[in-house]
Amino acid sequence: MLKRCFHILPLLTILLALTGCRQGSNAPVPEPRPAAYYWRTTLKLDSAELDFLREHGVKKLYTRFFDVVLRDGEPMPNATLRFLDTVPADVEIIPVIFIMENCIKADMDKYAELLVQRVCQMCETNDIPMPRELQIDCDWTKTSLERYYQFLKHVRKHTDSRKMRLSATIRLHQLDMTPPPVDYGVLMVYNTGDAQKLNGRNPILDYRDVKPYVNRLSHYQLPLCAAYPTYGWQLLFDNNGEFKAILHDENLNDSTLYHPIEPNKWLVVAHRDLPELSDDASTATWITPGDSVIQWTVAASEIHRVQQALQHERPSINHQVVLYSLDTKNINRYKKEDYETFFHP
Amino acid sequence: MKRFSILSLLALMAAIQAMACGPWSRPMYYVFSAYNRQQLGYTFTPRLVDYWVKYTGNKDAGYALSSLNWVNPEEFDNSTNSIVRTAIDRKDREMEDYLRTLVTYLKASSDIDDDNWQYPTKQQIKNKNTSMQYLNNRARAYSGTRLRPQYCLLTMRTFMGMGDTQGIISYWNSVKNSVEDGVFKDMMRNIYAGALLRTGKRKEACDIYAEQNDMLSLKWIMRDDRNLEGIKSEYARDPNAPTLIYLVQDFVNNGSHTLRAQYEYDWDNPAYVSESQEEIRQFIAFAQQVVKEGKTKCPALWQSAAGYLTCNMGNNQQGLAMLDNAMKMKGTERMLDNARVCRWVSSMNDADGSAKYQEYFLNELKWIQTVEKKEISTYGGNLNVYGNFSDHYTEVLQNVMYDIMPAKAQQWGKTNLATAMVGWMNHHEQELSNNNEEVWISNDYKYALDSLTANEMIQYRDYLHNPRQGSELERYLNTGAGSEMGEDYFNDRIGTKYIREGKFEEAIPYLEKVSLSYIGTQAVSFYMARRSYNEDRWFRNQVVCHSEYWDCDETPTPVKYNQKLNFCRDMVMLKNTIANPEPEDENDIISVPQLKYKMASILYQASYKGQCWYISRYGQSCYDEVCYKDELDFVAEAVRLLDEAVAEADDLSLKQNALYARAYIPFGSRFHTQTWDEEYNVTDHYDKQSREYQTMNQLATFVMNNRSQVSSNIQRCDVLKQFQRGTFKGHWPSD
Repeated sequence: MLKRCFHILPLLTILLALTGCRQGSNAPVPEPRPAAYYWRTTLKLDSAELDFLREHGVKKLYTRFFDVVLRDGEPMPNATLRFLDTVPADVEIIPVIFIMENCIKADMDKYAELLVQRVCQMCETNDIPMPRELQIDCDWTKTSLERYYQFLKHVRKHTDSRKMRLSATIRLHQLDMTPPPVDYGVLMVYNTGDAQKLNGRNPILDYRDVKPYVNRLSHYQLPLCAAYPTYGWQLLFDNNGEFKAILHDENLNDSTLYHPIEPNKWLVVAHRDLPELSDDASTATWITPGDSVIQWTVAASEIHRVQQALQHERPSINHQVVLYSLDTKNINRYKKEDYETFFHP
Repeated sequence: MKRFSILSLLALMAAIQAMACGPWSRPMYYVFSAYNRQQLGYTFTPRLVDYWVKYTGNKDAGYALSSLNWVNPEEFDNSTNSIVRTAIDRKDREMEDYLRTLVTYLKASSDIDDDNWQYPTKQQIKNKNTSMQYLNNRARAYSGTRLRPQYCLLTMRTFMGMGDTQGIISYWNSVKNSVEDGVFKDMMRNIYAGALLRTGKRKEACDIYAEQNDMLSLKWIMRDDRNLEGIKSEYARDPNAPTLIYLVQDFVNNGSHTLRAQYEYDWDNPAYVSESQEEIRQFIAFAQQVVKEGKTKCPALWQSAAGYLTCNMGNNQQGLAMLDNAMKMKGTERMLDNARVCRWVSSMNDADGSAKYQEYFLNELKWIQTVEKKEISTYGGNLNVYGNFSDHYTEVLQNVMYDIMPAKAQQWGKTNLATAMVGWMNHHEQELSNNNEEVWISNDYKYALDSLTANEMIQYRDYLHNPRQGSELERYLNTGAGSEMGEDYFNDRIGTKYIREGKFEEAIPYLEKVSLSYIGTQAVSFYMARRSYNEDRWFRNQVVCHSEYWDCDETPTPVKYNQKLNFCRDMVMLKNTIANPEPEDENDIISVPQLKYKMASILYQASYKGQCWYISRYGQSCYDEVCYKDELDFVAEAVRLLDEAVAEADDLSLKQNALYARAYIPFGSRFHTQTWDEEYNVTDHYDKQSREYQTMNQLATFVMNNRSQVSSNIQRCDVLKQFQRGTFKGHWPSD
């Protein structure tokens, strides 16, 4: 009997190692649930947004708490979320912190503890249940990878001591690099193209831009789920086709300003200085006759096509789908059935 | 500091050298200004500063005001802040108490910062609210009269600190009639407007923002009302709603710019242009209806809006008549001034240059300076988003005197007048900025002067030197247009222009009068002192700084002789000798083809492509070309002379040099060109009939046939080798 065990053990070890690898690259994220990102500066949900959460059983809200930016050379919180409302009790808020890459190039390690403390303090002050997870969002590159991962390890020390999971966003180009030291990643399957190109492909999502990265998925050694876009973009170009600005909720049906020339393209027919979002007049956006506006949204079929392609390479990736982002104007872009398909492809 | 910034900016602009052939582009500013958009930011602060300047007797009280939030309430008695210090030193207990309360409030407000690593705890928020409540009670307990407006404002601010919107509204309603008018009350009202907005009373809030010139808030809150429909709706709510001034002004300026842009694009009136123009037509009709109805207290606003847009639509005479009427209607002083400015600017659409028009133009030019002066003395000038000195009336003047009217004067054939307008404005801006403490020639004026021919420059100099000649307008403009330029300036310019025109002989008398010390102050002297036009460009690169196109520090350098003058003398001598090739000394025979080669060489060096470009211009850009009126194309002339030298030369050495020079000079059609499709995919085209290919081919054939005699330098040329190997792809810069 013992002898037989000795024979079987090496085999088991190899098998375990193999399945271990397999699980590492295809393991689902912990407690998968339909989820959405919330990416505004005030937390206040309207009735359409509350209905959406209920109807589609959204149980996780990845909520941007604040950004970290360099201010006077030091990483500092910015655009901190103001809590004007609560979310339904059965929806878990997962704080997300967006960190500008240049902060990583500065020394962020000493801020890891401050960051975790701040998140917890925000929850306590605003009567939000202590989070069970923290997510870090950063567009790191090969040059900042080492420092970023070092920073994540520091963050992890503090999240572990508070029994919090740590997750991170993963951009498609980051699939080529070693996975970050976190519990799982959310693959951002959006912003895949070049928004500054007038006649380019849909910059929000186009399967042709995702395709080159798909084969990395089966080997990526980190549990992953995916986030898909439900947002739209209005991009302004001048009459030479040069990118000018992203517009904010312009009413393109205003025929005194815009004239439709293609299904997703409008010609500007009148001059207007659009309201600035800041009091810095030099940042004002001017539209002028001859400019054009492209409105990009992603067809439900395209999202589904991408979902299928990713799932083919990595069957568990859609066990949890996160939509970017929860907002009434995004909700209205798709039918209820579409959302059901997004969440359960 | 402001003056320093303006001067630095202008000095920087003046130093820019790569402007040889193009004007800089100034935006057309908004003309219609019944609502002073430049008051934004001036609504409260200068008035507050005024108050504290009077109290402290210290001109720098503005700084003390802005640094009150650094005063530690616990060390109040030892504070060095001049406002606090004044109150303590004067033993002004009443003011001292107020300031102590104020700095406590400022400290309590800044203690909790949402964008700090230390996010506030519940207890800290509670403490802040307790402090605010305490300060609120304390402010409300003030029973005096002298500082009542200050304490009432502080009460409003503490309500705001507690997030008590209803408290703000109730308190305002309870005290609004009893608080003395002034900046503190206006600030209270601004806080009240914010509270109204938060409680859904958007229109009422907008009315206050409009009255207080808070354009940023208005633009955002009323973003969906910035059209005829929005204007009609506001009018229906209240024909005298303060927001209407903002909406009407916004509509007129946007409409005016829309029409301008549409004309510029020269669209053939497609449906979408008609649609936006139709809205403007409907607005004009609506504005006239408003005037007729008589419900508005300011018909001048509506009438001038209709009149100005009518002019912009192309019905100038009708529009001018409407603007004439507007000036007689009821409205604020600014509205009437605005109607007059609109009338003046619109009159330029079909200005005819007659004595009558010039008289009207001058009268209005004098008048607008009075309103400009008044506005600047009230609000101060500012740097606008384009980095220029900015006041509404100054902006109007800039567009009129730099852009609109010089073009008109040119149409009338009055070049002196056109140039003098630009010169006058240049002088006027200096007066506004520094009372002529420092003198400069703006880029606009430089460009206008640079565009003149030599003869026009002579006439302009004569005009400036005879201030009693010409029409009244010409005499008026002459008062400041030439004060920046001396004799050296004119002689150097006229001589250079003659060079540009190929009139070397005419240039000499002017250049002879230019002092070397003057040349040594010019940026071009840096190059003049270091380069020689006698070097063949195709055989030698005269490097004078390591980074030719980016960081070359063009420090003016003293020169030993005027290279322009020597150049002219050489050119005259060469021309004469070519025309009359009899050698004076038979031992010193230089053949005509040799002379032509020499002349081609120095002409090319002095051209916009040569390294001695400073001979014919004051700046160089890689985009330069023949761009001046009457300019002789030195490059084309050099090529012509080289062609002749090649054809006429018996001497192999001369022939090889001339062939090499021709192949070197980028001139005529190119061998290699590229085109791009809509997807930016590039296609290469090669043309063996091109001049570039043909000159290379001639050189290559010549070298092949005379290999043993051709200079080794030419044979080593890498481009020639490429050609010989069949890998030549053109050597001139590709588009």
